[in-house]
Amino acid sequence: MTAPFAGSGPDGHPEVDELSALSEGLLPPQDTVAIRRHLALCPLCADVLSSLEEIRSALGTLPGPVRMPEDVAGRIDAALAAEAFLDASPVREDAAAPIGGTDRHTHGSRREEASVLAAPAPHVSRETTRRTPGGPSSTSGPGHAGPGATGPGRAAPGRRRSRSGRRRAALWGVAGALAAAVAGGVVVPTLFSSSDPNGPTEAARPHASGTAELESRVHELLADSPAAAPGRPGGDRTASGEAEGQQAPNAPFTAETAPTENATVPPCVQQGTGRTESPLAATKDTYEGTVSYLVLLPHPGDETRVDAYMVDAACATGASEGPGERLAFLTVERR
Amino acid sequence: MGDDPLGRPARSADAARLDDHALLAAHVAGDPEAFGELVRRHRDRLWAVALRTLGDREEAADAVQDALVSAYRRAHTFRGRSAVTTWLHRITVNACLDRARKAATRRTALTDDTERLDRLLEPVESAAAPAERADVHRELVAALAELPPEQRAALVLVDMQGYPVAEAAEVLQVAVGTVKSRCARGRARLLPLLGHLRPTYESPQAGGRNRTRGTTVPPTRGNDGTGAVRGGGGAA
Repeated sequence: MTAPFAGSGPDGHPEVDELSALSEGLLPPQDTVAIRRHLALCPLCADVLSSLEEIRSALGTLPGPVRMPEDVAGRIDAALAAEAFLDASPVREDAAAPIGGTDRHTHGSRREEASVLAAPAPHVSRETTRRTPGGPSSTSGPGHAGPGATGPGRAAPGRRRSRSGRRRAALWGVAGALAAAVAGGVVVPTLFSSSDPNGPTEAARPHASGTAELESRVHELLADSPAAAPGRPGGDRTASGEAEGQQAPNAPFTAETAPTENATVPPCVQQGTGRTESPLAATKDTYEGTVSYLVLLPHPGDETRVDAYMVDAACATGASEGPGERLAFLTVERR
Repeated sequence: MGDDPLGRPARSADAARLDDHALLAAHVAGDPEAFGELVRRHRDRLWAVALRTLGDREEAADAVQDALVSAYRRAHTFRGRSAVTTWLHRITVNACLDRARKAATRRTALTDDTERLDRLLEPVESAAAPAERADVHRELVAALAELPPEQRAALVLVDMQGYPVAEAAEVLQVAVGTVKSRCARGRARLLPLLGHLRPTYESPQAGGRNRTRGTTVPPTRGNDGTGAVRGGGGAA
C-alpha cells in the first residue's frame, strides 16, 4: 500500500488538483514536502503526475491553425477599412456643417444617424447636476440647435454597445467629431455662428480620430476650469480657447454647462484612474456610448501637461462593482 | 503611446520597417497604412488564440474582428507599458472570454460535432498524423471545450501557444500565480476527460491505467502496468 497522505483526498492520496498545483510550484512548502514524500512511495500518484505532464505536452503539440483563413482576414480588412473611412472623410462634412452654423438641418441619412448618435453628448457632457435624459430643458436654448435637436431621449447615453448597436459603434468616428463640436460646447455652435471663421478648420481637421476628439474635450474642460489652469502658458489659442474667451462675457450657458467647480468625482471613479490626487477638473461625459467621467489630473513632473482619464460611470450608479473601468487615457499638452 | 499623444504624421511608405510601437504611433498620428501592417503581422497568432479559446470558427472570427476594430479605435489609449502584441492579445482574449461566457450560457459544449472538431484541427493534421494521434487531438480539443473559459484561455496561451507565463499574465491581466493555478486546474480537469484514451495514447511512462473516475487517485494495487483497465470502466 501507499504512504498515507494527511489532509487531502478521501483515500489518503493527494487530489489531482494538488498534484497539478505541485507541478506548478503553487503549494505551500509543508504540503510540497508531504506530497513529494508520498509520491516517492506511491506509483499511482507518480503516474498521475506524469500524466499531467503528458497533457501539458500534448496540448503543446496539438496541431492548430497556422494562418488566419483568407475569408476571415478579408472580412477584418473590410471592417477596418470601414473604420478608416468613417474616421476620416465623413467627419469633415458632418462636423463642418453644424459648426459653420449655416445649415444645421442638413438632410441625408448619414447626417441623421450622426445626429442621433451625438444626441446624448450635449446633456451628459458637461453637467454638474444630473438631468434625466430626454428632459425638456436639454433641448431648449439656441446652443442645442442642430444635432441636439434630435432629442437626447433618442439614444440612451448609458446603453452598452450590443450587436444591434454595432452600427452605432461603427459610426463613432462620425459621431465623435460631431460630439466634439456639440459636447464642447453647446458652446461651439453658438459661437461660430456668430463670426469666427477659424472654427470649422480646427474642428474639422482631416484626421479627427478618437484621440483628437478626446483631446478637444480635454481642452474644453481645461478652458472652463480656471482652477485647472495654474500657469496656463499663453500662445496660440485655438478653437476651444477662442470659444471660452468669446463666451465668457455674455454666455447664456455658462452656468448650465460649467464643469464641477471643485472637481470631485465618485470614489470608484477616482479609483479607476489609479491616482489619488484631487482632479484638476472633471465632468460627466459619454465615451463610445458609455456614460463616463472625464477626469483631469496633473501629469507628474510636467505642469504643461495633463493626464486625462475617461472612466466608466457605471460604478457610481451601482451598475458595476469595484473601481470604475478606465475606458481611455491620454496625456495632453496644455495650450 | 508615449510622450507624444498625437504624434506627427509618419510617412507610411516604409511601414514594414517600423517596429510595432512605431506603427501604432503612426496609426494614432493618422498614417492610413500603419494599422493594417500591424494586423498583418499579428493576425495569425491572434487567430490561433481566438479559435482555440472559442472552439468555433465564426465566433473566433467575430471576436478577432471586434478586437481589432476596438484596437483601431483605442490605439491612443495604448500606453506602451507592454508590447503592442501583448496589448492586441489582451483585447482579443477579452473579446473571446466575453463570447465564451455568453456561449456557455447558451449551450453546454462548444465542440459538439465531429465536423467542427475536424475543422479545428486542420490543416496540419489530417494527412500526416496517424489515426490514433488524430483521435487524441480531437479528444483534447473536445475536452478543452468543457473547461471554464478562464482556464481554457490560460491553457491556450501557455500550453498550446507556448507564451511565457509572465506574458500570459499580462495578456489576461492577472497575477502570474493565477495563470499557473488556472493552468494547473485546467490540466487536472483534462486528466479524467482524457482517461479513456490512455490505452491508445502512447506515453513513455504511463501504463494503460484508466483514470476517468473522480478527482482522487484510485487507492488500490501496486502499479506494474498489468492491472490496466481498458475502456471507460473504473480503475479500482
